[in-house]
Amino acid sequence: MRLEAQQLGYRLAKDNWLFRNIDLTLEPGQITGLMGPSGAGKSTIARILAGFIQPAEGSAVLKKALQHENRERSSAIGGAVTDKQGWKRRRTDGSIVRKPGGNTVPYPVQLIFQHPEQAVNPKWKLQRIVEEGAKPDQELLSLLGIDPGWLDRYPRELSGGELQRCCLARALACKPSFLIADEMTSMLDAITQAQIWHAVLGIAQQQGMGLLVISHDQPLIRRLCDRVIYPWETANENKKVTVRG
Amino acid sequence: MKPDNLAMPDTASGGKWLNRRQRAVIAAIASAMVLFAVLGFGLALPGSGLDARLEIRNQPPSLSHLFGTDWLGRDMLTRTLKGLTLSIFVGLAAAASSVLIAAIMGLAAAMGGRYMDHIIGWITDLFLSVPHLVTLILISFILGGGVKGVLIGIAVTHWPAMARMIRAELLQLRETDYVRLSSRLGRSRWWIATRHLLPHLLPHLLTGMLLIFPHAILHEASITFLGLGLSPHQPAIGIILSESMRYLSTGLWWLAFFPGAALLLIVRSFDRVSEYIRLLIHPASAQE
Repeated sequence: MRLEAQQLGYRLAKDNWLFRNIDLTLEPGQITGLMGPSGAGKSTIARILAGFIQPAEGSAVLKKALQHENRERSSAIGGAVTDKQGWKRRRTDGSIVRKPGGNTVPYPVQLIFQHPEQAVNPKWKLQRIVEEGAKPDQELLSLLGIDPGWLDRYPRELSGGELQRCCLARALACKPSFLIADEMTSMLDAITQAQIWHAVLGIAQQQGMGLLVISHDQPLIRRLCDRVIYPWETANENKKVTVRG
Repeated sequence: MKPDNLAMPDTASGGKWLNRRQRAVIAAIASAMVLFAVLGFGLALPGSGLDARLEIRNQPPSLSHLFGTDWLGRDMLTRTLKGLTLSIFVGLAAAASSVLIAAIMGLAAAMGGRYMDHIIGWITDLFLSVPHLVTLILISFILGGGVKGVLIGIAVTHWPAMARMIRAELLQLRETDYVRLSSRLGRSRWWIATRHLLPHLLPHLLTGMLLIFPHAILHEASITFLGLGLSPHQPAIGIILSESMRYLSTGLWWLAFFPGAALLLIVRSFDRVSEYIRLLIHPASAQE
């Protein structure tokens, strides 16, 4: 099971390409670091890979890899799944896979945002937020250092680091094949960062989950990742960028 | 310039001895009391005041008949209160159904895809392009008048502005990270609409209903006044006002004055409450 993106391109307006010809492949169990200057489209790539937005070009290969993923999943759930790929063109990413209850199967690529405050419904208690995709088991919660008492609170009553752990629990409860961490710990202090990454790396190893780490923090990326990619270097001659470090 | 003035700049505006929240609470309690008093009296008063008693016709306001009597000897206080009860009932029912239609339309426009959005936008524009009252008269006339005609007419004509507001609100909410993430977590659009979006809308719907209510009552009264609404034997404010027009020139001022003032009082108090609630709920003005 691989997440392959080929010839990805995204533009803000006609002839104003944010990036073009981006190739990248995520392998299961591998920790990949994605680096690039600010404004180069790192977050956009993350959103495309997680199915939040559609790329302007190069979607075919990504779609194909994900369709393959859906077939794998549909057999795992027990035949009760119908693929409605042709039903809505806006969601060609494969998220339209219906469970008998009417809801869809969690998308196999989950994204963690930089700001957890915006990624949770402020009117919901944490219990409900964490269980939105699937119910996380107790082991996962304790591994991430989530105090059971937090689950009875509202998001604004938790700190950023506590909230980010809950967002992680929400994503990991879905047992994604790939986790994309878009500046996941940029707003946290070093100790919390270390704790969270320690837990995530453990889970990734245990589940064979592929991880894409997007960060400005070069020491962090070097420490964590099996390999670091810098897709702009080769892809876009028009953009003058320099690689540091 | 004395330095004291600099130290106490608030004395100039010392007249405002209550903040907005307190004023809103007081206004809400007062108008609720008015409403319940009218409803209670309207339902509790015996119907005998509505019987024609020609020996006491055309009496000016007195202690036995506070609002006077009309040209058939009917007690105007009873007629006014019963009429207001009917008006409040019609107003609430029409406002509630209007808000319901607006919520459904707004949700469908925001979550139903691009074509649904276009279709609903078109319908909304269609209803907004014709003045309220004209559509209302047409619908009420087609349905043959009566409570049913007025109710449906008001419900069908008052939703478009609100539906637009709801749609705009939802389009904004739909782009937030947590709503977008919800579909990535495998939740259907219906699930997202009912769990994420609808709870967010509830305060808007409540204020919307309170804002539509005075409109509904006034439109009910005006369409009845024009003779296209409730039937003449029902004690409705519009009927009372339109009938008393003929007697105004003969000096029977109390026939129109008290019912009109009562209607104004009800409408105005509701308007005030809904305005306060809107200001309190709206984040930009909540702290003023």
